This record gives sequence, structure tokens and C-alpha cells, in this order.
Amino acid sequence: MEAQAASALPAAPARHGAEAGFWRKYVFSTDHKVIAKQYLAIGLLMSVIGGFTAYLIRVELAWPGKPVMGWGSIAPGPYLGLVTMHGTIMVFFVAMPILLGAFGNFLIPLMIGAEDMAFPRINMLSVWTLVVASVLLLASFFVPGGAAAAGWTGYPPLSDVPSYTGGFWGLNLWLLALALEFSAFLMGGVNFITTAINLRTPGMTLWRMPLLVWLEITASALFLISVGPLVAGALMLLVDRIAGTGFYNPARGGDPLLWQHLFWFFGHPEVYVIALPGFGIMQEILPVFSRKPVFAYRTIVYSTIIAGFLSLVVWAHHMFISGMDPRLATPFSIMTILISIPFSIMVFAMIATLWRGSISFETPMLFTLGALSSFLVGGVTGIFLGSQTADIYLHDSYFVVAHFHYTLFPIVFFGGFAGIYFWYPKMFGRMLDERLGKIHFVLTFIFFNLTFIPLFFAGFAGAPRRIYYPFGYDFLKPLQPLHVLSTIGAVALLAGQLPFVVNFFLSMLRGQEAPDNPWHANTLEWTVASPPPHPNFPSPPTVVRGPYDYSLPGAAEDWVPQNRRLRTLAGA
Amino acid sequence: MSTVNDTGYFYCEIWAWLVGLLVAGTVIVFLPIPKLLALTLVFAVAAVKAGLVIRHYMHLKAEHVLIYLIALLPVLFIIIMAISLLPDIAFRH
Amino acid sequence: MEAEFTLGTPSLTPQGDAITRLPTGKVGIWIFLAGEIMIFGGLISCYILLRIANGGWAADAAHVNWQIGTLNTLVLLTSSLTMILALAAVRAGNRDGVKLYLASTVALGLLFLLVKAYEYLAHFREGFTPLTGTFWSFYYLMTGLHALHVTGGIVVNLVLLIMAIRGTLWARADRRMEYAGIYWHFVDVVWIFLFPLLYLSLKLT
Repeated sequence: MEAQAASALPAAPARHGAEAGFWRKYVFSTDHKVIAKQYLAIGLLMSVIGGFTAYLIRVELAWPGKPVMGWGSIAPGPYLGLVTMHGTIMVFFVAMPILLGAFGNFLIPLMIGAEDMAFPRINMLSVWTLVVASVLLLASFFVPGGAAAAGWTGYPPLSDVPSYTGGFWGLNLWLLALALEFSAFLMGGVNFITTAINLRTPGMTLWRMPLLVWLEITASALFLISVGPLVAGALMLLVDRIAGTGFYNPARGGDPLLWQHLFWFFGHPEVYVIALPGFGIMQEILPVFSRKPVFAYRTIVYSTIIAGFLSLVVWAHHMFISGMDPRLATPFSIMTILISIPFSIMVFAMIATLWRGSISFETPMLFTLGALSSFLVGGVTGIFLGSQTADIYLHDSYFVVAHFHYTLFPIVFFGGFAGIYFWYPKMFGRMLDERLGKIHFVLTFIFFNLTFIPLFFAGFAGAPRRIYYPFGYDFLKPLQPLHVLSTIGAVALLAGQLPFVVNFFLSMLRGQEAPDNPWHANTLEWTVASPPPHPNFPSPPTVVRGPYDYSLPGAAEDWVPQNRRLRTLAGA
Repeated sequence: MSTVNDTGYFYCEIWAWLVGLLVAGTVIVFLPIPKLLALTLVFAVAAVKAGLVIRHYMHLKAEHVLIYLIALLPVLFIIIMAISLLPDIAFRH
Repeated sequence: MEAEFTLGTPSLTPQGDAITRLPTGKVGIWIFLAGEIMIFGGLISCYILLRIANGGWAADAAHVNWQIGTLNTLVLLTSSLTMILALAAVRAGNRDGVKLYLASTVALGLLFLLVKAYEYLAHFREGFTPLTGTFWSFYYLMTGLHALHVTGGIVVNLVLLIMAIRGTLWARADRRMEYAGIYWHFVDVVWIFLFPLLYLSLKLT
């Protein structure tokens, strides 16, 4: 292999033999590995901006009305803009690009033994569409009237009538940015699913695919199915705002509740679109650092598919007190409680994978365990919210905020970091520093919990979310210590990311060169060099076993790659 | 690959059916029958036309089960969504 | 239709016939259409729901011109015929036929758009704009979105026609015509439903 371990990005000319220029190699590349890194870059960059909005929000909540250090005073309108953009950025421009765009693109072809995605040029188009979307979204901060300020959920009438939020272009750009983001991931979804179905290498039956691939394509299918009605609804909202139609205006025959249904029909599957790849990353890391096969592989696949189906029929649990027909509440409540079953199965299976394993606590494993334990808290608190009666009190309170941060943050950030620490050697040809990694984990884990546990209590006490100035209500004043505690956690959490930033860039330049398979893992990406050469595989690998043959009785080592035949005692 | 060797004549035959159904659907509207029945018939006619195009022009009749799944699952979910929203949006008042 | 649902152990070639016996492009185009079904299905569902909620919009719907609608449906159905005949011509090796039928499909598609444009202008002159009422908002949005898809299809077919004339189509003509056809027929199917939804209900409600 050429001296590729030293380069930060692998040379990946679009055509074999032709030496591609800089632009073709690194900017307008059709190579899935380059595209994956572009997605990762977008996600990490946007996470800085999203994190900054979080800082502003948290400081405002802890000391309402006081100017924020490093920024200045925040007025109520811009505060709503911050809350809106924080959610939008984190869900659509951090979680999805990192978990789906980066890991999906990098790993799916490698894990199934393919050379690239099914449609490489569409793949390139998808990441550039996301770039344009990101630019539009960030531009919305600077237009007159400021950014969109109707919540990441964008409910009409607030979002429907420009004068209600005081801004016109902010929300329009928000809608356009989202439309482009949806297109980008629709294109990606077509690619992921087609690739996994059709480009598997000989021997790679569906039941031998790594779980990450199963989870990524289920997530892509979920996204594909659920986003359509919202695209229609967003078109209607845009036309309402720009042309003055009345799709969501009751006076003109429209219905504002229609938006909520359309939004959550997508919005709920969307959180599983994010959660499933996160689980996939965890499912890949757990067996490697327990030296044990994944427990109940097929059950996990079936649970994933069932959870996917169920996720499409639970959406109205976000709308229990919206004024919708109360008769809808019970069926949706039942389906919501039911969906906890497949997820519980998956969580128990992960614990069973650990059980009696030979566990080692490298950074990827630490983050995976952190994700698993924290997600449990988030998942359990979701059950309360799924009951329509409890939700009457808890809806739109800080309990909800704490719940979804206890599910999203562990999945996106713990899971994402786990994935980055695990596959960084493969992607960049260098090892990340273990010590900095462990420090990063400890800081992140402790301060994440410090930030969000107080919010459960605030929510129980009745604190509503999206309130700019809690002191306007007497009953909220005693909660300030909780908010201060949370803000200290948040600021420390943000500061605690510094070891990661340092590690990420320093290791790229001066990290220890990575071997092909630093973790002694079985899946196909570890059978090629770090970073993978072009073409990925010298010749198509032939797969002879599943992905989790760790500690196989009779094997020489405690790991057996998927393409390695074993000599049995009786002979080949 | 699914090899469908339908002839040009066969496609024209389908087209004739489509046109016939188009005329029939338009005529139904003018018949002195109850509104609900007429509506049901009109959309049944549309469904048959769509089915003909999908089966014979898009060759779904010769395709693998997977393609059927890909094509029909979205339809299923749209129907579920639309029916779920009937009580809340359509029959609100 | 193959009864068993095994996707088997495939070979490596992208674009080639994997042992799944499904060409990669075909899987791709159907998945893309699945997404489109959700978009149009969502929009149509909203229309149906709000139309019921508002008592049928009979007064507004009465002004839609069902004769032009019927004509346009005929145009689009015929364009589907010419499109599938173009594919049949590819399979029969009839290159002139391919060009003829592709050109007819493009022409019929353009005719559809022209008729639509005429319709819109006529409505504007009568005072029925997207702001005249929510029925009209839906009418323009649904037919407008559909017209955008028709335009996209015309562009694709035009590109194929140019390739056929230049001689660069034939290397992979079968697959390309098949996928372009699947998309075009889908656009036709959407219209098959839009037609009664917008044009025929007028006499009933």
C-alpha cells in the first residue's frame, strides 16, 4: 500500500488511472469515503454553532434578563430564534449528517465488501445539497427580522403569518434549508438502501450483514417514508407565507392542526432515523470490546423492523393536548407504550452482549456504555410522556426537554463520539490519543448529566419550555438554582469538548500511525489498510461467516474476520 | 432482469381500455345516481386505470416481490395517515 | 412474479445483475418513487381532508373546466403509450421507432403543459387565482407540483431523444428507457388521481 497512512484524506481519484486534480479528489469527489468526511465536517462544524446557541440559551435561563458573557443581552424574539435554531441545527445538521451521512457513507460499502455506493454521482450531489442547505440556514441568522423563531416544530399560526414572529426571510430560509436537507437525505436514502440490497460481495447474505448496515438502511427507509407528507406540508406553509394562501388559516378553510399532524408524522420517525444508526454504532463496538458475539442478532433485526413500522403510527403522542380529537389519544398512547418493547429488547440484547464478556474500557467502549446507560434514562422517561394522562401535565415542560436530551444526546454525541473514536483510525490512518479520549469521556459524561438532571425536576415543578423570562411567573422563581446548576453543567460540558477538538486535529497530524485492524474486529472494513486504498478491496472479498465470531471455540485468536476460513481439526 | 415481451399491439390494447375508462369515469358524473355511489365509482375507475398503467406499463406484474413492497408500502402508510386524520381534520365540526 | 423472497448472495458488479436479479438502477428508481408517492400522497390527503372539512367546496369546484381536464388526461395517457412503445422498440431493435416514439412522448408532454398554461391563464382572467380560496390554492399547488414533475420528465426524455439521434443511447438503451419510462408512467398515474379529485367531483358535491 502506498504511504497513505500519513495523509489526512485518502487519495481517491474519480477514475482509475487518471490522476484527478485537487478539486475532483477532495471537493467534488464521488468517492464514498471522501463524501463521508465531508458530511462529518458539516456535522462537526454545525455542532459548534449548535453548541453556542445552547450556551446562550442556558445562560439566559440561569440569569434571566442579564446580558450573556461574550454576547450581550438577548431579547425575547431572538431567544425564540435561538431555541428554534438550536433544535433545527442539532437534529438536521448535526445528528443526521454525522450518524447517517458520515458513518453510513463511510461504512456501508466497506462493510458489505463493495467498491462504492450504487449511485456515486448522486451521492456527491447529496452532500453538496446539504452544503447549500447549511449556508441558507446560517444565512437566516443575518437577514432582517432574524432567524426563524417558531420552534424547530414551526407550528402555525405563529409560523404562518410573518408578522407574528416579526421576521419574514428567516423562516422562509429555514423552510428552504429544510427542503434541501430533506432532498439530500432522500438521495442518500436511495443510495444506502440500493447499495445494501444489490452491492453485497459474494457470501454476504442479509443475515451476515453487520448490524450497523441493517440499522442504517432501516433508518433511511423510515426517513424516506415519513418525510413526504411534511414536504407537502412545508410547501403549503411556504406558500402561505409568501403568497398569502390559507392552508393553515381557519378563517380561510385551513387547519393549523393539520401542520402538527404532518410535522409529527415525520417528526416521530425522525427521532428513530437518528436513534437507529446510533444503536448501530453501539452494536458494532460492544462485541469488539467484550470479545463476544452480539446477543440475539436476528431478534435485533426483527425488533428494528417492528420498531420502524410502529414508529410511523405513534406520532400523535406529541399532540395529546393540542386540541385534536380526544378519541385519537388512546390508540396512539397504546402504540407508544408498545414501541418501548422492541427498544427494550434491543437494550437488553446489548446488555446480554456485555454479560460475561471480556470487557475492556477503551474510549469507544466508554462512550458506548455511557450512551447505553443514559439512553435508558431517556427511554424510561419517555414512557411517562407516552401516557396521555401524564402528558397533560408534562407536555411542553422541561421534563420533555430533559427526556429528549437524555435520548438524543447519548445517541448523537456519545454514540457519535464512540463511532469517531472507533473508526478514526480507519478513516484517517492515525490513532486518537487514548488519554485525551478518556478525559473527554469523563468530562462529557459528568457534565451532560449535571446539565439535564435538574431539568427533570424543573419540569415536574411545572416549568414550561421555550419561556424567555421565567421570573415573569412567581411559581418559577424558586427553580432558579436548578437552572443555575444546569447552566454550570452546560458550560462545563461545552468546555469539556476541548480535549476532543485538540485530539482530533493533533492526531491527524502527529498521531500514531494506525494498523489495519487496531481493535481486532471482524467486519470487512478492518481487512483493508487504514485509510482504505482505492479501490477499497484488491479483489472482491468472499464472506464465509457472520460479523460477530469473537472468541469462537477452535479459532486461533479471539476474532475471525468475515472473509477468513478456519482450518478445522478435521482439515480445511 | 424481468423480460416482458409484450407486443406493441398489447400496449395499444391497454391504451384503448384506459381511454374507455376515462370516458366511463367522465360519464358516471352525469348519471342520476346518489353522490356517494358516483364518487366511489369515479375513484374505483381511477384506481383501475392506475392499476393498468402500473401493472402493464411499469411492468410491476413481472417484478420481484421486493419491488412490490417498495411500491406498496408508501401507499399503505398514506392510507393509514389519511384515515387517522379523518376524525381530527375532516370531521372536526 | 417470483414468489420467494430471497435476496441471495450477490455478485459484485454495480449496475450489473446482482444475484438478487434486480438491476441496481431499477431498485433505485422505485425507491425514489416511493418517496414521491409519500409527497404526492401527503398533499392529496391534505386536499381530501380539508375539502371534506369545508363541505366540499362545490361553488369553487364548479368553475374548473372538466372538458380541458379530460383532454389533458387523454394527452397524458397517450404519452404513456408512446413511452412504452419506445421501450418496446428498443427491445425490438427498431431504432427509428425509438426516436419516433420518444419524440411523440416529448411532444405530448409539451402539449400537456401548454394546455395547462392555457387553463391557468383562463382561470386568472376569470379571477380565480391561488388566493381566491383554499380550493384554488390546492388546485394550483397540486397541478403546479405535478407540472413541475412533468417538466422534469420531458427534460429526461429530451435528453434520451438527443442521445438516440446522436447514437450514444444504444449502449444502455434498454435500462435507460425502462427507468425513464417508469418515472414517466408514475407522473401519469399521479394525474390519473388528480383528474377526478379536481375535475370530476365538481358535479357531485
